[in-house]
Amino acid sequence: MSGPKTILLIDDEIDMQQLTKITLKARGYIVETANNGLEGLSKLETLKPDLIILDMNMPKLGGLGFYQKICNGQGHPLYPVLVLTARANLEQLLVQMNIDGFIAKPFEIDELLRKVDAIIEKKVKT
Amino acid sequence: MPKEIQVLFIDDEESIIDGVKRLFMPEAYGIFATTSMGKAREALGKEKIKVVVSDYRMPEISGIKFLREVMGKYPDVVKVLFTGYTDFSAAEEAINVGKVYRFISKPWKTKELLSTIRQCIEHYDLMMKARSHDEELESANKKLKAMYEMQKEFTSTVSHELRTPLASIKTAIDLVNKGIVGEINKEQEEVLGRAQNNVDRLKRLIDDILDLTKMESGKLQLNFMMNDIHQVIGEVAKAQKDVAKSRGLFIKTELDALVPKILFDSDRIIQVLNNLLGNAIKFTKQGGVIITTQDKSKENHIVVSIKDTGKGIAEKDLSKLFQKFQQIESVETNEEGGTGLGLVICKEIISRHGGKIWVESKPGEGSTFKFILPLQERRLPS
Repeated sequence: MSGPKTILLIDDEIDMQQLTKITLKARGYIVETANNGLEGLSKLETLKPDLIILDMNMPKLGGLGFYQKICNGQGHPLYPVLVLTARANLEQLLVQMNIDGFIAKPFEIDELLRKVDAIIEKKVKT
Repeated sequence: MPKEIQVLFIDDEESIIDGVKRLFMPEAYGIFATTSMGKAREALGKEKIKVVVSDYRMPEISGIKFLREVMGKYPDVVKVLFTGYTDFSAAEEAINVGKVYRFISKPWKTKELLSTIRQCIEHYDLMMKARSHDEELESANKKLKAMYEMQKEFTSTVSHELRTPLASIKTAIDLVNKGIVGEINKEQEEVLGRAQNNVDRLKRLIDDILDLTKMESGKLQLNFMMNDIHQVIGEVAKAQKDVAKSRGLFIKTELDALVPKILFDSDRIIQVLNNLLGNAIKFTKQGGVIITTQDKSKENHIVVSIKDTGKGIAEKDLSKLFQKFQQIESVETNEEGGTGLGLVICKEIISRHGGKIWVESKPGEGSTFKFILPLQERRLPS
């Protein structure tokens, strides 16, 4: 598989969202954004992203709600998901989710890119 | 002003009622004395009766039955049985069924009767006072618990709310500083580097405060596993080797091969070691750091020491080290400041393991931070 990969970035913090977008674009990814879970769902009607980067605390539809909506009957999400959140007590939450990784905000750019690259590479192989 | 009626007398003999009324006239409190059950019940409902004195034998209802009735409706009222009989079975019944506090035998002695009633009133007042204290304590306790829950919730919310803007600031600075959004010159890099250091410092502070809150509230779950402390020390030493090297310092390890595997939370012990080693490097200008382990299985623990060749710590400062936000003045460093919570967190982690942490130091002779970890048995429940 070749060609640039697409990432759907869902975050209600517009500054963070745009800065993350710049980071990922500079790495060569195509980045689509949504400001909350609901917007994210409507993006998915036309978009087949290679990765979803998901914030947790958001209005209208939060990260967990969005995640549940994109899960199949077996509780697995239809797209790779990387959770990006400033929430403190994530440990309990994450054991309930079949996600490909999570990053705590504030994060190191290099760490974000390393994880994003790894998840997308893994997806290409499978 | 009429006296407040605090004592109720009931007896079927008018002469006794009259006698009682006269007798209690000089008392500070008022009494209500009657031969009528109906009036007695009415008075109980209307007045703030503290003591009920009932005759044992009465035509309508036995004294004990009446006192039992009083107990059912007014459980706090102090009950006294007035009786002409010194009948043991009556006394027993009175105590068991009527929960009678005192007996007064007829014919009474004036002084005794008055002092008994005073005692009864005092008893009632003390009981009420104790109860109101209990209630106050209970409500204070409830408030504390609620505040404690709120504080926990608050801390975690605040930490989220602080991290969110901080994350944007950090990423913005990093994007520019890494040249991702265009080339920058040396001076711009230096300026942003300083901003970056302080963002990182603020982030560490938020993390430390959250960590400490979790530990102090007992919310931190420790993940105890059989681990090899030497492996953990190796990892930490390796991770900090470059920093040490860049400052011309060595990191040596002197590990006791007899040290057994023990139960500990490796992430948390790594946190402790990182902290102690980081401090040692930060405060040492020449020489380096030696990490030592010692098997003390016979004493049921192992010892880990981090010894540096820094300038040491004055004795007056030693006790401050493990307290919150106590950075000691005698220490000079050009590094970015610590959070002032590192050693407090170390202490919490080690004590949650059932261990102990302390420092030995003399100015001019370097400092040695030591901690012991028990061989499983003394571990505190997490």
